[in-house]
Amino acid sequence: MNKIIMGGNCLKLENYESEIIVSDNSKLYILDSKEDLKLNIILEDNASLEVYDFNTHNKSVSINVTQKNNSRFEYLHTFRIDDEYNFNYNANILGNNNINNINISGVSLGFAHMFIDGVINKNTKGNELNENIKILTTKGKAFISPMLHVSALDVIANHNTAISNIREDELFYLMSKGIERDKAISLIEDGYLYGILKNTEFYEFIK
Amino acid sequence: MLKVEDLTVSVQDKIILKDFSLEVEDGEIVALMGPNGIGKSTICKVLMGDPNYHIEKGKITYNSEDLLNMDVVTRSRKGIYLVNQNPIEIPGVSNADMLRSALECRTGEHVNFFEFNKEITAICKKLNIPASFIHRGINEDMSGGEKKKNELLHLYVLKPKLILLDELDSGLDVDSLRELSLSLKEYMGSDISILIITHHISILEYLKPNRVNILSDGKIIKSGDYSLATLVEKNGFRSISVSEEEDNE
Repeated sequence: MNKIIMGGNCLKLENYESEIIVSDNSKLYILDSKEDLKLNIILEDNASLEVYDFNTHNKSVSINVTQKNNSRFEYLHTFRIDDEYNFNYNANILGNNNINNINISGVSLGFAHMFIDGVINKNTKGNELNENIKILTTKGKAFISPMLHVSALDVIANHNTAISNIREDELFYLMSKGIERDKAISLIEDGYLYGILKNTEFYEFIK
Repeated sequence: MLKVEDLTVSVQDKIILKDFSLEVEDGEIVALMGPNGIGKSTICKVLMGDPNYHIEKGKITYNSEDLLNMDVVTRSRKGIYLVNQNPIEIPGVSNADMLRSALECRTGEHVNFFEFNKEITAICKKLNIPASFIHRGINEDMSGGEKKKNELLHLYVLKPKLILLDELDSGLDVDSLRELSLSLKEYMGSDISILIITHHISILEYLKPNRVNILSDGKIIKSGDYSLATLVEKNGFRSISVSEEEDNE
């Protein structure tokens, strides 16, 4: 296991089972790792971390995030898989005034199993946790379990989950512009794979 | 030239259009007016090839070719373009990606990124659309007016010959309607034609159609020039239906 301490740096990480301790404002790019990924991330007081995770390989991903006080964690994950994909995310908020935003968008041509847990502990205040997950199942399946375990009184917690197929009206719209059906499907899939990353500098890495 | 002859259309076993006939010559602007829920939008969907509409009988030709034997993609490539009443949103798929794909599908050739960018930026400027639209998701988080402008951006890039405007005026403020109408007028040419579906005269004031048709009971009950639209605006659709019934008696 690697142990990485981040303090305001930008780190490109591949193929690691890692513990990451963040003490400042940092970014982590995970670009199409072919190996199973296991990250334990600890955000110290006043730290922030943006994680951008792009994946087109079938594998197992496990991310555990622990937040202390006044920290911010942003996780943007996109994927396209054609076999089994096991994704586990655990956010554990221990202190006060933390923000944890999870934004996942993916295409499942296989079977995506997604378990997203957020825990906000007792006697904490001012925390915010938002889970936003959407998966397109063109030929595959998906199972999403978004869980919020809230034991505090002063919390903002949301989860928003969607599993959908390509809609016929979307296809008709694109085809009415002269785009062949297969190409239209591929455009919509790419929208799920790249859409939420397009306005980030990480998009340039992917391209 | 578009020619619709004795067309009967149903949706889920309900007849929407019955023995409907219409002609639109190249270079013509033709309006189809009628109250809500009478099947005006149906004609646009049928002309574009929406599979949800069942053709019971009749014939549609465009430039002497049988339109009913063409799928939606072929119709688009023949130059038919539909501006929907409520253009749908496709999040994540940018206007640029969609339009480049559409051009590549039409020509079978790779579209040069820089030339495309230059052209689309110039069109945005011409249409008074922010350049940021180019990389936004199709109609994503756009207001009603912005969506219609976005559809016009697509139109200017794809250069269609027969434009179907399904209630372009719905949800638009007066300034936006004027701006969009003038942009369409500027696009018009001797080989371009427009079919306007509306129940208001406001869009017709800008686009000044060659002919105005009133739809009732699934078919056109009266045709005339622009003055027919002003009559409708003054007395309502019912006055036209009643006068037609009286004439028939």
